[in-house]
Amino acid sequence: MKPEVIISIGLTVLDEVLAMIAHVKGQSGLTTEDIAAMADKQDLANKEAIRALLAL
Amino acid sequence: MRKRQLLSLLVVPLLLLVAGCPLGSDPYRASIKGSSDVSQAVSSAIKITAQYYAVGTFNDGQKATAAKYLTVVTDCNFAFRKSVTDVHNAGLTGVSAFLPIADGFVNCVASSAPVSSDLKVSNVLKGVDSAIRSISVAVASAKGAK
Repeated sequence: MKPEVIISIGLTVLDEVLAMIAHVKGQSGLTTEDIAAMADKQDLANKEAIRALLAL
Repeated sequence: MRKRQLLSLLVVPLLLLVAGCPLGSDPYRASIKGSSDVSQAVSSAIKITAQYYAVGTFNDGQKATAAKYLTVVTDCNFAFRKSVTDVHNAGLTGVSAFLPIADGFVNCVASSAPVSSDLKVSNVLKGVDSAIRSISVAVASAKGAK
């Protein structure tokens, strides 16, 4: 695998690690119902993103 | 090998974060937080799958397998959250009310998702699988009546 590809994937993974940390930290001040609503939105966005992924 | 190391960067923090979540949570909150963590893990897996496909690490079949798995997880996660909310609205609060639902989530995915022996695909989906399995642990260790 070329170094630039490894760096590119590494940056994506790093982005996602940071997103997860932000996600968990962001839940701390929210009510359980807020978190459920957030998850509903994320799932809908995921459905769209999967459709886009399949269309690639 | 490097890819596996990169993916462990994703899986290890997820496990640590999810494992740290139940402190101070009741079973209802632990369930919903776990569900939200799964949604976030799915989002990450979609992006990594797209990246892998873009650089040619995944072929069409591997992309389709990952997409099918992530679709099943998203559907099961919706159903899981609905069941958790229904149980909560029925006035149940104990771990014993929520634990079977968390186990049901694991079974829902296991019974519908494609089984892949492809190491590359399973490495990308490992973080999602860990997040799903962590819900039972979070619920079991949550505060509240057993």
